[in-house]
Amino acid sequence: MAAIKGTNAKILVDEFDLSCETATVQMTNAISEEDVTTLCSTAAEYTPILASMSINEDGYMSNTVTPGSFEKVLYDRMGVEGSYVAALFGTQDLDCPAYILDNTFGATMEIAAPALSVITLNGTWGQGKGGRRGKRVADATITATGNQTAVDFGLPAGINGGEAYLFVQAVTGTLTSASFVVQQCATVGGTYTTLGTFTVPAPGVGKYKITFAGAVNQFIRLNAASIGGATGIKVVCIVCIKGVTGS
Amino acid sequence: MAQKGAGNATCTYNSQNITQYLNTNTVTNTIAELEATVLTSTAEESIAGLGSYELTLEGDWSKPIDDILGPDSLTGALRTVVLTYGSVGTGGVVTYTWTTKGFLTAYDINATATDKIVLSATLRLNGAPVRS
Repeated sequence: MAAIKGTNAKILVDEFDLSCETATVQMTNAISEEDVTTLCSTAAEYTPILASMSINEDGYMSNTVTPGSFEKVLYDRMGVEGSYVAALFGTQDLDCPAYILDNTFGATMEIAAPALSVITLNGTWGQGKGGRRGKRVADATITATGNQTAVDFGLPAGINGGEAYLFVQAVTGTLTSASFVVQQCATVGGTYTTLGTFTVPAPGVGKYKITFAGAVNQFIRLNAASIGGATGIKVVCIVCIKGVTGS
Repeated sequence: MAQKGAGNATCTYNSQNITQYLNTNTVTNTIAELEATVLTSTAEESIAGLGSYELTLEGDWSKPIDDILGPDSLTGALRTVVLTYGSVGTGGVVTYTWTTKGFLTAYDINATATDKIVLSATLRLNGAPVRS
């Protein structure tokens, strides 16, 4: 199995892509365990309790006045819940795994200014409402209505619904209200049905989430039902299916 | 004669051979030392308690291994873990098997711009394995 270079990773925080100010992104899932060893045990035994996800990024203080700078984004969110943070790995593939912290906040922020080197910025995002694992289904600037490429989520298909996250990173033109539909189908070339719809009102840039219940088919795609007067909308969409992707 | 690791160690997780994704696997059995020093002791004394097994995995990250370990890292699902060490022609093969007794306690992905994407995982292995 060929190694994948580190630049095939991304870190998204709400509408901002901080990848170009980040040198390292690290996702950690930890599951606590409790000792359940009994008098009949031949070696120690434990049981898993709950998972806890954290995302850490190390980067640079390179641009402190622009709204989307690493420093500004992290500073504004320190201790403030409500953000979606996604770490994507293997981004050379559209359907790369993405780990998402739901309703998270900036947990730690460290600025170091050594005299003989550059100013660095390290930050950690908190657990928030829990971690999710999903797959990226779209990463494009959408200039017209229509379908993005369908992603294969594999079998067995989901039975307990899931969530989808839409990161709207940029809008050109005059947006009134756009809508993007997450669609599903049992076969890649079949007739797709709606799992859920993102409504993106003006000004559009921001983060959005939908949840859906019940059965979820193997193939999922993002459909731009309306771009609402905009000439281009830059989006990243991640879909998490309970029991399938790890959501 | 010592045996090199490459080609002489395998790891199977939940019936899926993940050896090709790993560059290191380390299984550790730590015996609890139970303090047994008494007033007549001339040095600290202890007795052996139960063993505690833990497996650490390291490798280059890729989507196939993430599809195997990633979902379980959020659920703590109990899986069967099988480790083999050695080769048939050189000293034989030993196999350790934990049947539905292994679960992830940590899963870490690290992407650094000047390096490759790497993973590390730690699994708790419940009880003593079947050694064959």
